[in-house]
Amino acid sequence: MSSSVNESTHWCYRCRQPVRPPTLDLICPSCDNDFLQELSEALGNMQSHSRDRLAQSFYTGMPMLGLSEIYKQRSPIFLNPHPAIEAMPSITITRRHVKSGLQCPVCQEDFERDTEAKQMPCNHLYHFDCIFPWLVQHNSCPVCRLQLRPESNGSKIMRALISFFWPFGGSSDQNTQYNLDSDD
Amino acid sequence: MVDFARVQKELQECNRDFEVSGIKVVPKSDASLAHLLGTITGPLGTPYEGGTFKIDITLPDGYPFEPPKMRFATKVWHPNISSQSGAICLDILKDQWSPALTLKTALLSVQALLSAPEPDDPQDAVVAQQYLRDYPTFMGTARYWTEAFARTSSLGVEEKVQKLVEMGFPDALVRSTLESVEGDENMALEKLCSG
Repeated sequence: MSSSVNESTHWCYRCRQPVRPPTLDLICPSCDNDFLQELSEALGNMQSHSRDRLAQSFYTGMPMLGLSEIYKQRSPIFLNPHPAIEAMPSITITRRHVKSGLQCPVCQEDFERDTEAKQMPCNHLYHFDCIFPWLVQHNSCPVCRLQLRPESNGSKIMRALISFFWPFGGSSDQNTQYNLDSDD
Repeated sequence: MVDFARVQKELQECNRDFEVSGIKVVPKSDASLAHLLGTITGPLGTPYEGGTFKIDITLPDGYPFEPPKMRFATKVWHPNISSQSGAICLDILKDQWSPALTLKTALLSVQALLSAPEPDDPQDAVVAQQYLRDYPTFMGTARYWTEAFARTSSLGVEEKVQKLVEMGFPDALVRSTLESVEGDENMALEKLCSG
């Protein structure tokens, strides 16, 4: 992890990256913009906004990427997707899915053909952006409540997911394998 | 920030089969979808039968990842609902919430709670005690509260107007009086008689 990320305290909404303002004036050192927010708050905002494009444009003044997309683009620790997310298979939505009127249970929008969806071990499908904020805090499928791991491991997965999205240091367990599929 | 696209969708779907489900959700004002008013009908065969219950709904910023906040706006006598504040003790409105649930399914659960009180996990200790120790009195009180508080709002505005007009009051006066007492049929009648 780069030292600049380690030292960052704020999120710059214009640069879309974590920054450390040089003074108490809270101005981005890269673009001199003052549209900054403390990282922990910005993370919360982006999670709850990740599917609401309208609200996101309000925050940024421009069309915004989802939380995961932002981090993948801007933060070194997100260049490689975390194993916990990787372990969930992605499937491509087919004509049959569309024909059956399959919806993402979280946003309740129909899945579109040829787009990707995340498949839980119980086979329930979600948009990545829809299931991710839930899995950060919970350890279960929203539809059938299947626990992804036994309860004792739940906090471990949660910690792993939080550290995955936490822009400060301490992500030494980045490469730890967390298999969301509990059938092992 | 609440996912208003989903809320909008939920409202449309929920209100589509009001006649069947007896469940309705409408925004409290045009300004925001974060404050809603739900309506459920009292289940048949319970002391709540014949009543229409209003439920205040507030959507937290994290909705649908956090549960909607629900509270009975209509007074109701039930072990799991505060007779004072209308607070509801129901697991899916707390730690058992899931983003796959909706306002409609949550209200259906509230309606089911009216059919199946759980006095061992009470919200209102006085009501729960009465339920456990003196069931006939509990039934009587619950039925009385339904008659007294949940009946008046069971009629639509037009039905109330029609009822009062049939008693011989002029249409315009009935409408303005009803409006002044926020649709309370009994208070309107009182006012019309005294005026």
